[in-house]
Amino acid sequence: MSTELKSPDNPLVEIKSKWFYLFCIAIAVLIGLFTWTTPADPNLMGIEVFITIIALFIFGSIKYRIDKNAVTYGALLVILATFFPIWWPKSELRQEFMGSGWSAIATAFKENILTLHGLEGLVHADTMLFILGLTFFVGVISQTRLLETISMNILRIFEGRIFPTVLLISGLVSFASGIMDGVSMIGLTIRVLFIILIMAKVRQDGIKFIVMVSVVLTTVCGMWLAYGEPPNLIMKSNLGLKDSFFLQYAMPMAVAAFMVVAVFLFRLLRKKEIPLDELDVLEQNIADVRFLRAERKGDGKNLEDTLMEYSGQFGDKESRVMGLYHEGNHPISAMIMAGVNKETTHRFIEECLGKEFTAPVTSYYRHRMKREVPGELERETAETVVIDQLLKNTSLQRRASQIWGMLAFIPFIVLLIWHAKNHNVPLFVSSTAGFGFALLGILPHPKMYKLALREAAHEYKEYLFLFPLFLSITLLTTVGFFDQLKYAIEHGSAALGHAHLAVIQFLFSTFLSAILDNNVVADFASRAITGMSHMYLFAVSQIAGYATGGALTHIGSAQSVVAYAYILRHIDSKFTPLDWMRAMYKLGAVLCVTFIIMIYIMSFFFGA
Amino acid sequence: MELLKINRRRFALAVIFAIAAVILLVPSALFASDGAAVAALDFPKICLFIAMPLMLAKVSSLIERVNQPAFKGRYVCQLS
Repeated sequence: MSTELKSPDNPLVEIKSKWFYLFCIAIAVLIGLFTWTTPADPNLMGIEVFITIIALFIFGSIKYRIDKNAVTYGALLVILATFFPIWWPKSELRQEFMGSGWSAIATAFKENILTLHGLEGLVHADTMLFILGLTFFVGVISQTRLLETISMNILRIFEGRIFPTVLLISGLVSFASGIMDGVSMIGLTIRVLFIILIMAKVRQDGIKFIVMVSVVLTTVCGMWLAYGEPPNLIMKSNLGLKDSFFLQYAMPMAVAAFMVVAVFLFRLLRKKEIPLDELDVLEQNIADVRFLRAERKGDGKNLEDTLMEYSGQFGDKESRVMGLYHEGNHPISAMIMAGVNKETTHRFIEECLGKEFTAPVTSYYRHRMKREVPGELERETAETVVIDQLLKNTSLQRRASQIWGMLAFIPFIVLLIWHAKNHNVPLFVSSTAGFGFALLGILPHPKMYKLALREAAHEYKEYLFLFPLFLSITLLTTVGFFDQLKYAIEHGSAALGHAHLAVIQFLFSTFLSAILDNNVVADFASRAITGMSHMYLFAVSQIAGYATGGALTHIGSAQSVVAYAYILRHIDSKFTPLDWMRAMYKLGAVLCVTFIIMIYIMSFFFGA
Repeated sequence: MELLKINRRRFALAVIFAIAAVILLVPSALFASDGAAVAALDFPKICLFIAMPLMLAKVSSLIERVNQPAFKGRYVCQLS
């Protein structure tokens, strides 16, 4: 019935999906039998949806795990069994069926299932297709190594000073996260910041904190526009929010959050610096090195990943290599300094860069270690020229692909603007067009092209569990469940005042989103405020709430899941969810206080 | 100059992609009845639009294969 996963510290038990499906089918049949003649209360559906959402959290966190797709698709069967007897007797479709027969069913099927408009109403199809295109678009852009190139240029502009470099990268990431997919953005951001922080010899705790801060950058600071975050797009779709709403309400909050983050970064990094003349040749050409790896191997690994894989082959030198690496030395340099045998080092270089690099790179690091000896610096420089020459063609290919990466933003942004002006233009065409153009940049590199598609498809699979949840929430709306919530909010607003109620919604969304998926919180909470007089204030409170909550725990958002996995794999394998909360509580508390003050200010200035 | 040379074929593909996108999108967006372009952009068009970049990629790799000396040696020389 279950499979024990091999992990000596914390063995997880994977419950097979088929058993969960069978369990759900049995429940659905029972509900169908009991409610066919006497339909259930719509609240039962509300409870079922809520249990599904809680089950996602529980079976994604405890020892006994169930695949999240199995949880939501299985639960949908139960929800449909409850829904049908409530909806069908009073439905318009039934009346039309009595009058026109099966042609009414065929027409309804065509209108709701075979059109984008119909699917948008049921499962946010336009939004989900936009995210599909965006995931592939960013997947391709990341292969062009645009972010690495920009980051190294920023580091050079600030002459190696870490705080302004990290702050500017953070600013760019926050800006881009408003438009580009936050999950893809965080993957790139963490990798670039990690390299810079390692080179600057920042302590391990500091690196972990900045990796966690990247979640805040992409979720909270990226809320200034809807397009980067799926929950914001869902909010936009449900409430018919315009871009001007995000610029007027959400952008000030995003800017305030960025300023809070800047203070935390300043305290951590103000004295840190990288002496640029001490960067080795591979660090200076990091974009080319990564481009070359993806082009040759198509496996998406970088030098750090390969170092982890090779660590078992270092024997008694392993701890020394890792120590030198965490002190800021390049992986190859750390291996040579620790005295790892020649064959292993050569194999490592060959795997990462290619056979032609083995001799010059080994020689380069050997001369570099003895820089103080007369004549060694000249030999090091000579090897630098050889390595630069070997990377020349890669550099040209990378720049050619980056041109397409940048050109792709033209159709993407033009179509986004067209959509903003005319909502009849589907949203998804912008990201698909962006992907199409960016793809041209990496077409001549088949392995890289396949890697980009593979990684993007893998990432998009993480969103598939949302479709049944979206459908369930649409069904809840159909049976009038949210009318009751709306009634409660309207009465609460009359009794407490809209400002206090907005703050309560902010805190509630923060709490919910710290333990649940942001997309579900956004879809669920926004339905209850549709068409209200204070809808904009409530909407921004919810947006700020789920964005903040998403960064407070390791499972609060898709980005935090990515960041947590990265910390476990690359920085500290003993890092626990409690450590995450302990590290983030100060920043989280300051953000909450800032947002509460801003909600009160907004309610004062904007009123309704 | 080198960059332009590298990008020559990609420019051609970009033009094809842009023309195909315009043919697919503009009539739906501008001339649909009641302004319901979203509804008008129905299933086959959605699939076609999403698949277009990948189809172009396939065309490009086929051109690449045809240009390979091995391919030319095997088929073109036999014909001549």
